Amino acid sequence: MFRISGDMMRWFSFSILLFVTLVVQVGLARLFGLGPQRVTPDLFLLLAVVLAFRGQRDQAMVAGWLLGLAKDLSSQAPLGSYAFVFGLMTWAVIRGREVFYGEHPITLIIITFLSSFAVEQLVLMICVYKGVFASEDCGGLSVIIMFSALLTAGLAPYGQWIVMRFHRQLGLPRRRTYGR
Amino acid sequence: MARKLRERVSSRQLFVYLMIGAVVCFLLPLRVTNSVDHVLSMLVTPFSKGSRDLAVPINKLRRDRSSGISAKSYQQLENQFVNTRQELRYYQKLTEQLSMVRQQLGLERVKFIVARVTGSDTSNLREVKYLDRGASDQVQMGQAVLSCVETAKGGDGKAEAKDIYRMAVVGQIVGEAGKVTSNLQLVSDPGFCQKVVIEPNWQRGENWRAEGLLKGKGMGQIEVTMISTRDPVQPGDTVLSQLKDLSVEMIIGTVMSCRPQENNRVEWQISVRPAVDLYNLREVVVVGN
Repeated sequence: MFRISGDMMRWFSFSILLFVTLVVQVGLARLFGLGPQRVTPDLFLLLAVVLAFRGQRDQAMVAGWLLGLAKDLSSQAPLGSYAFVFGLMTWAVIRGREVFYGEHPITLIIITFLSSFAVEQLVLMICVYKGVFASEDCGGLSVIIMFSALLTAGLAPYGQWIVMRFHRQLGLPRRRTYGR
Repeated sequence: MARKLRERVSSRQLFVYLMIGAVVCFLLPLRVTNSVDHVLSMLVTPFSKGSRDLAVPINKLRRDRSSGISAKSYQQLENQFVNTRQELRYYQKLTEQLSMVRQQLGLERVKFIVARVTGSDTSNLREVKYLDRGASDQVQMGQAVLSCVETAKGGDGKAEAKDIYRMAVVGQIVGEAGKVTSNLQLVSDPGFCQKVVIEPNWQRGENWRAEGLLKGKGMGQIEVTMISTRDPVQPGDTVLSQLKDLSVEMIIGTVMSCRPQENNRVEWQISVRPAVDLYNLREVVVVGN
């Protein structure tokens, strides 16, 4: 299927990972959310950023789109909105990843924070535009988005560690080297 | 080399097609795309329900250890007291108005459907829970949802009317219900808006009522607006919901804090503490028509 520099993403393993993420996010994340407001990390986005950072270019974009679709289906956002925005985000990260410094966790944390914040703001705009829900307090929602983005970013190095523990099963390259 | 190039082009094309597909889906009407949502909910429900069943007792144990007292029991009794008081008023009013021998009682006209919470919305923007009952159980959009206690469920999965008074309003059904699944919009959801009544705490011994509008603000915050500062609202006062299917007003929560609005000093800005823990819901009761 999609093969570059000897590594091919294993889509069956990816689908299992996607399903586990979906169950954890839908069933458990809110129960163990932080603070009285139960702010939860966005595990789909975390996984998309890690794959965009470490995975093969074209496969990572498709994987990011699929993660967005999973989020679309498990939230009240209009179908296609998260998929589209996740696709854009993955594309942007892949375009810029060669510029970023090596494998430093701070890089990953910053990129995850910015990605999460931008994705949620874009989807919020789409939701308001589509009339899915009308909220007068967009400032308050932005605060929620920021807390969630901070939490997601804080978990990004751990997420990367877990994903890379299964790099062989997922068909990801062991080191962060990009084929041209 | 040519094969590699072809593969790369085809994978990029796939991504482009997927992105176009996303835009097309996004442009489709919501009622069309919602059916796809319901199909996925049916697939995920058994797994997320299992994971929640595992997580809720762990979470409860953790909270009980930290608090040292059974806050849930206390809250249930408090809810029962407030709702029973409303029930008493209702029956007093009925007695006054009765002119016929046969009279239907308020709670016998409606159907109570017990549903289990199977998951939460994955976006932090919404406070929506997924339920395992849908249109096949006569769950419909706009129906009120009450929190459920362990003893409320009978053998046939139906709640009994006497147990309803131990509950509190937690939200309403939002969107078209699927065949076997539906979505519960919590009172703290940013899109939630309902007419409510505030009454003084029974310990104050006062007798007044103020009608206002309850709005969810997200992040677990609930506010009541449209109440004049002439009404002597204080923390601890009771917030009651006027449900269209129930003749009795049910408790939503209590006033946590109140202060005059910054841009409109003649109206209160009231924060409400929900009567039940909205994030640890396991079972709920949908008030059917």
